[in-house]
Amino acid sequence: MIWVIAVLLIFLLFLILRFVQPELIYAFKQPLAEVGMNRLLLSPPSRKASERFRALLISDLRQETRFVSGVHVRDRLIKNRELLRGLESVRLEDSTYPSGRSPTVCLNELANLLGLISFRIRPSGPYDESPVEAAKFLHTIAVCNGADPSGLSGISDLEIWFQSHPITIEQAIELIYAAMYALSYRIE
Amino acid sequence: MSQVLWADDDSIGLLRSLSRFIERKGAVLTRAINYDDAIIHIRQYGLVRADFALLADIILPISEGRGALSPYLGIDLAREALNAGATRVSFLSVVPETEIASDLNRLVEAHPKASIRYFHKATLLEVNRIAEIVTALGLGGGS
Repeated sequence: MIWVIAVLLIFLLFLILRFVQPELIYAFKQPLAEVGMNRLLLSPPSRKASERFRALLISDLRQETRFVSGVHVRDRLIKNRELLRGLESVRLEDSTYPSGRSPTVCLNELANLLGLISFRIRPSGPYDESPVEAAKFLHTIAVCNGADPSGLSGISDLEIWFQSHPITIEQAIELIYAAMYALSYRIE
Repeated sequence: MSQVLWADDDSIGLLRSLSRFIERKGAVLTRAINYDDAIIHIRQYGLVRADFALLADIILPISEGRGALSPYLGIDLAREALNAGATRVSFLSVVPETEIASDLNRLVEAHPKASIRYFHKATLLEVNRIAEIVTALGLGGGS
């Protein structure tokens, strides 16, 4: 009986730690993924092994992290970009997004990190700059996507252009990368 | 003895076991987890005019906390390696070949004598893919 209670208490402690320190999940998950990958690489090729391999390649998303520093944010942006490309290759293979493998899982990690950054940032004098209008960003995107700059002289031109050329999730994610990259220096 | 530089942050993590297939062929394998590390090794190879092969990811950090705005650093690394005397460059990445096709073409045009190959990471476990990578690195076929 004492053993059962002890095991339950340890399990409870693990659960509490898991929610207070979600990095614990990744500390366990990553070595397990490496062991799994090791086994797959040394096993004979098969369709099942190949599918498992692709799933492991995109297993390093960290949607619950609580740790945040400028270096960590920028490192995760690089990894997030790689995972996004990996997810894209899974989609091309299957033509639809398998469960849990759409680009939105990358967005989830970015949203979590952005939330953590926003908690750390405090207004300060040197950063009191007037905002750059969203329309200016959209103008740049439209031109990068092939719009004629002379045809985008006003906001209404932009509205018409984006109605017929809405941006993709991947382009939206790149915008978030840019914002988070620049913001990461505010928490150093 | 053949020398292979493997530049990929996964070379000491998820894909660590791939090194066995390369070392089994008698190659001296050096791992680099970011661009700066890899450049140090490339300059050393260049100084002694060593013949070496590069296996590189396209998405690489420059160093810890740097490189988030440079999505194709592996291409720059390959250019440095080819200029330093590498005769074989293979990319192993999740970045689709179509996305970097023009960069690859420019590399091939600038270094017509070098062997430049691309492999998608997600296909690594397909039949004979590892053997193809090993061969592309100049180490002979087979796994």
